[in-house]
Amino acid sequence: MDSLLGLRQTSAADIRRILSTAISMRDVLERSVKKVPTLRGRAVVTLFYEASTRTRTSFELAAKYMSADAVNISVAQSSVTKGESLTDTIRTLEAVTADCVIIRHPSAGAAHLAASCTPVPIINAGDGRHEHPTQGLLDALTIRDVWRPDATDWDLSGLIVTIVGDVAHSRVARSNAWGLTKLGATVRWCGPRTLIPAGADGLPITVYDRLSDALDGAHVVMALRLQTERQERGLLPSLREYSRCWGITASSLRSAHPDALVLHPGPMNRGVEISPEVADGRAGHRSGIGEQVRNGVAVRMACLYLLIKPTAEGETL
Amino acid sequence: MPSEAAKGLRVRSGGRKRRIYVAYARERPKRAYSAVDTSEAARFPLYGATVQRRQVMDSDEMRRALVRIAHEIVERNHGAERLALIGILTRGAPLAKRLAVMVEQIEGIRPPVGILDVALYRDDFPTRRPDVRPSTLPGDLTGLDIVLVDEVLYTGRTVRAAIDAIMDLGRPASIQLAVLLDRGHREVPIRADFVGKNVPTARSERVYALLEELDGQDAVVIDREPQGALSPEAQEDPS
Repeated sequence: MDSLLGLRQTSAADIRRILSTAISMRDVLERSVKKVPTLRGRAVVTLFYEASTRTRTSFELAAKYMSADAVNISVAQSSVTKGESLTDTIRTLEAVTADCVIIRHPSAGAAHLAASCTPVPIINAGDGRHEHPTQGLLDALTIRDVWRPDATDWDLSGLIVTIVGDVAHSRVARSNAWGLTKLGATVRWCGPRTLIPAGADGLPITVYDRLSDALDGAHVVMALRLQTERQERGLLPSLREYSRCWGITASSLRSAHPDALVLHPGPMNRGVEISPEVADGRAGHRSGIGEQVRNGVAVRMACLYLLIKPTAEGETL
Repeated sequence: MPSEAAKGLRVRSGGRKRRIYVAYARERPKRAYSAVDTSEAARFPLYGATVQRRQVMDSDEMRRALVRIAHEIVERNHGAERLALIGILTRGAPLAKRLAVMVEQIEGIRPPVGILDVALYRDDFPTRRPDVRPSTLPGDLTGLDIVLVDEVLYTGRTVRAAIDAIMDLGRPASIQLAVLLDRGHREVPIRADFVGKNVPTARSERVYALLEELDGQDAVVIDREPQGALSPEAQEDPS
């Protein structure tokens, strides 16, 4: 494994190795002193062309907990505003001896382009509507903790995961579709037809039009953020209608498994795609939303640990 | 096969790369316990060569050594009240559990047992990251007398990593080291407080401490390849 660009190309064995490592990394997060010397002297650069709170923060903390030096490049104050191309920016980061570059970009395939022009490991932190692999991994970890806490082989077969909402614009939905099905789970997508992508037939998922059908027996219900500009572009009649037809509420969850786990990749629009009671776990179902963020740090520590290779010489004290 | 191998070349076999070493391995031998055929006592063939095997400890000797170590631990620490035994994964873990049971038989107190994975603290994996396994430790270590337990003491680098890991987790009153076998060739200034057996070895030799819990029998064996023959590295390169 040289880079983590998407879960579509990542083998099931690599996914299991990252997740098993993440479980051990959670031990480090529970200590009073959250620091191990593993990546001491290594530099991790986060290059974010889009806004982010949790992904960027958790990558930065993951690097720092492993003793790496983390540098954030905020694109607004970088040479990107002077017209520097992505490949030139990546080569510059290689030249300043970055050991890993974490990239988020509005265009699908940006991480692949970055990886093709440098030997430095690249981690995709979201590229357009394409993939967000670490989110897919942390969702798998959260689901396993609740439904298969003893499964060391990461077998999620028999579990139904329903992803509801704006799947057309969601890289999280795609990474989950690839990642969870590789571990054996069944993935359903559900949303208004205007927000279901045309090419969904090529993905290992089933598309449902009615929310109650999609939620029937679902072990995991994942609500996706509805970006309000979708309505402005005419894909939705109104937010209120969306909320009534597709919102995850205590009543819509009645058709799901009684112990269903509710997830949301964040940030949430409370009262639109998910009701506040469900988000906070007050509706009688389990909410894993806080757990997702915590697992995100562990998964990102595992990715950095496995992708940043030990020094070529090794054998140093 | 031997003629090609004797040149020390990388040979392709079955589409997978295999690395062949001549006589002495230049890289540190990776202990491959699965390669030890316990049913075959003395020798096993490898690429047409044979490996000489000697057994340096049988199950009775191992038991006696562990009982003696348990007594020494109790004697050194004036009892077992503030003691904690921490086994270094993989084979230190069952040894620590055994020592805890023996200490209980001597003192009537079973000291808490922890399991420590030192992968995040290692410095000696040049190419591939080792798997990280969860550690389980008996709560707060501050003020305890910690006895680290491992099966073979060799370069001392694992123990160095384990000491660093323990220091990050608390401030114990003391850290001591118990090993089943000391084979020499230290690369850092570390020595064991409790040693089951000192066995002089060559660096090219491979020491296997087999344990009932993991390998189905208790024994310590040392493999040595005859002069000029191929080392066990000629097996598939694990990386």
